[in-house]
Amino acid sequence: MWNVAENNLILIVVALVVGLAIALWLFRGRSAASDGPEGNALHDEFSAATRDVAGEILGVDAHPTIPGPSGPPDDLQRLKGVGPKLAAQLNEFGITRFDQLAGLTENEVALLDKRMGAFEGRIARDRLVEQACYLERGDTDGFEAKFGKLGG
Amino acid sequence: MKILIGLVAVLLIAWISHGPLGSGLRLIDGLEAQARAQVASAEVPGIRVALSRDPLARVAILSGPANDLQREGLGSQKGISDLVRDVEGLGSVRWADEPGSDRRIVPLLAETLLLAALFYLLGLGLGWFFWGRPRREGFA
Repeated sequence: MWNVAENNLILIVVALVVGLAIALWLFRGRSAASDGPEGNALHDEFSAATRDVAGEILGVDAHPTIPGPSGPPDDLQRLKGVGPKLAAQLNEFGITRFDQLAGLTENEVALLDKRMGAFEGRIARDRLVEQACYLERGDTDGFEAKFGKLGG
Repeated sequence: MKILIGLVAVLLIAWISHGPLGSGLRLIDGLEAQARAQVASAEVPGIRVALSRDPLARVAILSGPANDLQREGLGSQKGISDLVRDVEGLGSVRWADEPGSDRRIVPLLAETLLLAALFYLLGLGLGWFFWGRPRREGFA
């Protein structure tokens, strides 16, 4: 079999590259579909993956925490599906503004979700990141077209 | 669906490389030349060796008048079969007049397709490792 591999080195490289390309298409497509914020570019993901692997090898947490709020808190209850308790829970994790919520990566959402207790699954189910993307950039028309009339 | 599209594309490329581009035939020709040289080194007249051509496979088929000793050798004395087996990359060696010589062989095309599929899956796995798996990201 090794001889067959040796005779097909170009084919092996092509197969590997196609596999990587499909994975990129598959996994990148999934995160792009969430209409996420900037910072999801390929080089950002490579960088995150590299930090992740380096962190695991070195046994340290190589990733930064959620950046602190950049201004006064937003009313998170404007998001569809977010009531006082869920808003308080998000505040507890330091999320007080739409831009913080909009800036969460898919992995951050997964990790945060595990700590949401009774609200586990709500971030994804209610598409809070996507909602926050609209509100963060003040696109209420887009928000309402997609999620319905905004409340208070 | 995307995974399937990729797999079909890779298998198609593998088939083109093996058949129309001739990498399969080149490999078999190379192995056959080495096998012939080994048979010649045994200095037993009338022995021929050919690799399976239909389908292309890494199976050497020996033919010609040779007794058991010449075929299989004895102790440290190598027989013709052993000499041909020494050719790196050959899958198996058979004598045309021995029972079981017509048993099923693994076509080189199948090996090539399997290899391509394996490396495609490896690429997918690496891609998942880089972009797909949940990563540890800190929450204070």
